[in-house]
Amino acid sequence: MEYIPLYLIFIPIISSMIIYLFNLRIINYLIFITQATISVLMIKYFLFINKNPQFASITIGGWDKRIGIELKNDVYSIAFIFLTIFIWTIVSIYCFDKRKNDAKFLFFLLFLEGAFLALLQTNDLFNLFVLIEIISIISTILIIFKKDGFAVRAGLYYLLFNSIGSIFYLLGMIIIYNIFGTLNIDVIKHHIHLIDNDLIIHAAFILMMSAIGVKSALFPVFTWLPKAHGAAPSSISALLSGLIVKSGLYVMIKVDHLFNLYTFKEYFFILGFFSAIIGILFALSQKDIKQILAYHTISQIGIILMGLSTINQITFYGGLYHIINHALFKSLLFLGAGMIIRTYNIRRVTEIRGVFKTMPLTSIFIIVGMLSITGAPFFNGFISKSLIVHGLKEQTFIYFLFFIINIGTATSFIKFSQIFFGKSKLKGQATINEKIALFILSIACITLGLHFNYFNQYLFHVESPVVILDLYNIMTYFITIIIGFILYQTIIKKDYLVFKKIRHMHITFETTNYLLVLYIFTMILWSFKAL
Amino acid sequence: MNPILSFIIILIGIYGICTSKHIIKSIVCFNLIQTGTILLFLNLGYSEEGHIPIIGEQIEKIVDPIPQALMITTIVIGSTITALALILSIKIFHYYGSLYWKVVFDREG
Amino acid sequence: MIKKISLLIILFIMLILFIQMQFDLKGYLNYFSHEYFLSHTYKDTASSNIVTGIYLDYRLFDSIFEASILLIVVSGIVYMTTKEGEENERVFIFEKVKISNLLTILSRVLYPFMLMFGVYIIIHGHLSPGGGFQGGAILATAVLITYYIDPDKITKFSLIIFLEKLLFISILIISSLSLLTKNVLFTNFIPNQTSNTYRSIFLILLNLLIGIKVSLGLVSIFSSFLKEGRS
Repeated sequence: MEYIPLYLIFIPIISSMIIYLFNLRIINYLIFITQATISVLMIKYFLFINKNPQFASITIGGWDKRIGIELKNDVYSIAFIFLTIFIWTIVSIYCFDKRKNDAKFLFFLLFLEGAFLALLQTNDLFNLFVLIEIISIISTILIIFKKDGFAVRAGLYYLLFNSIGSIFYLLGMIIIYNIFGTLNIDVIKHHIHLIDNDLIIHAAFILMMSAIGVKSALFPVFTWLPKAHGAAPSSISALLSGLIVKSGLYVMIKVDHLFNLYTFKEYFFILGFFSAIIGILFALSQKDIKQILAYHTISQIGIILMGLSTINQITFYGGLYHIINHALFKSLLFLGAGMIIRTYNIRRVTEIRGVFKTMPLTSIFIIVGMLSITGAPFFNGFISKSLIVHGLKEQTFIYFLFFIINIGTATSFIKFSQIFFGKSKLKGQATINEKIALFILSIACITLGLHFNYFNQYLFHVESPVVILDLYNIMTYFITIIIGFILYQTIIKKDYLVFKKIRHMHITFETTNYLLVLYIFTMILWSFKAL
Repeated sequence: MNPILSFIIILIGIYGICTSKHIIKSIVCFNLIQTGTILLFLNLGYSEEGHIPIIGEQIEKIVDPIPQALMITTIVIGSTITALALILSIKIFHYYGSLYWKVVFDREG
Repeated sequence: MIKKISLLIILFIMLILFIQMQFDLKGYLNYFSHEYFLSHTYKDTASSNIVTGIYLDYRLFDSIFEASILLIVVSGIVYMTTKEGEENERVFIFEKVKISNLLTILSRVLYPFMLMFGVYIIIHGHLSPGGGFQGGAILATAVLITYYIDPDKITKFSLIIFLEKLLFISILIISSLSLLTKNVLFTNFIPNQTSNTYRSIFLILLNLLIGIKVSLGLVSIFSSFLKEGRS
């Protein structure tokens, strides 16, 4: 029973090998058996852990904790594992029609799941590094799966930039190892307050955070994300935007708890705000349907970061909850966008017309996703955004900033919604599998919006004491939508020169790296405040 | 060897990666940073009086074995990433006829 | 220009901070692991070479993922370089290039020694410096030297990929055998009471499998490059 964490990791990996080795169509159905097995195992493990919390961590090989590798599950990792299995099941249902003969695709997909589940559970700094690298390599291969020039250049950009980022993580880990003589996160956390030298601790923290910033596409180093997510196949974009980007945030929560530094909380709050604003600005200027969604991922990550980097407990859980919600509605939107692109064969928002006529059911699902991302009442985005805002209500200025972000999101999605209107002679080509996948996701969005308290209690063991569905919040939402609509009609629709400039702005690879160095340097400057 | 020297190698790699406009040069600089990191880790674990970490007679002090074990992994990861990046750059050359970042990304489609 | 100068200044500041930090670090260095491994490793893992003991026993979980990285990259590279429908007939033939006789004869002399040295490094991984990954690289070089000896040599590509996957699965199986004997996963499956000579069978077996897997992987990466360079 206590080895279930390891089974969760290795069942997908072994079945991916079997699928690759046999290369038969019938064997490919193994992917669903795998998903069902690990779901059942995970539910069993969850019930088991709730009763016997002492089994939540195992050291592989039965060695001393300081020497071996430890797998550990806490409330965060269990929530993330459920989310991972859910999203992967949805994506495999969605892409199965297209990929049922493509054993290689399924091989990489399942292997990625195994590696991701390992990343969520490991409690060892170096193991974390290895898994981060595996995830970026498999993501690269999945991004370039179409083998056209557009995808290959995006894949190379993604691979090199992410690998450079993760070397900084390794550098930080080296410093930590030399001080503590161990790589186990728990042991380090226990001893870290004994080190009175701020320089060493801050250096290690800055190096690790720079890698995490690259991984989770924070403000100055986000340029890889729209390229990679725009070029990948739609099902993979959903996976990347929904989950793989969150691996950075997950590691960030871990590292943040490890160091427990209060110096940088404000810094990351400001960075989160900038990510949110810049992401929206770019999204407003784009016309490519997938690029818009990709830039929104950046802005949503900014919001999550704002939530995670506050001391307020409710805001923190709001950020955590927003990670889950964002995974749900962003994968819903990406999968829907994939269906639209396949039907229309164009990607420009200004040219796609009449989606509501051609694919009525799909459009309803996409509208659910849009309502969630803009934070409409009764949908899941509303809950987490309100939780984040709740902690900030006293600070009027920050509340105002948050309001600006919400208006931007609303404007951008009003722009997005122009695809539904108009006429079209095309026939929708949605298969039943794809519709099922979207249906499950939209149901999940609504359920998490209505019964969030239940989920919070069960997964995170916290009560949300706030009355969220009050008139004030609902009114705020409608005001946001109205301002967004006016903004769209008066400014965005005209497509001023500024937006054209932003749309055609291209940041080269060397400049991206320079921005990474600047990002590290600003953190160094910030840390002088504490010294 | 000195840890400071290996850190200088890393800095040279960072400088290179921020200024080079050619894909292959970027890959080389990436390797430079990686090598510098590996050297840094090994240097920090080194001590003058330590023996190689193989158990034999009359050994009282050894150099740290963990960096050596971890760096094997890092070397393998680095070499595989390099291989993948190189094969992608060959593909890019087939599609775009150039290996300059600017030329490759300025083309549409 | 501004960019380069500012970059140099930033890097210089980083260097100064690093030098300062390195001096500070000397007072905090922790020697826990040195002492622990010196006193425990031989008893725990039956390996004289502590490094082998670490990556084949204490941190076997890492090594499995390390082997899997190679496997993924090989499958990715092969996927990238094959065109549609070419998969099964794919063979690699080394191109006939003009090679001087001297090189050919020298390669013939060197070939068996290189193979032997590679196998030696792998099998003695637990006694002397070396191990699966290092020996595997040497083996791959030895296999690739046949490029000079016999340019017409034909190898089936899908066979190599198949073997590599099979080897990975067998590494997984061997390392998880300990669940049956000791009721823990990913450690030596031979009980602790047996003599160290028998216990090192596990190390030799794993080193051998990893070595063959690494060499197969490197050979297929190299030949993909050869093929792609010609097209």
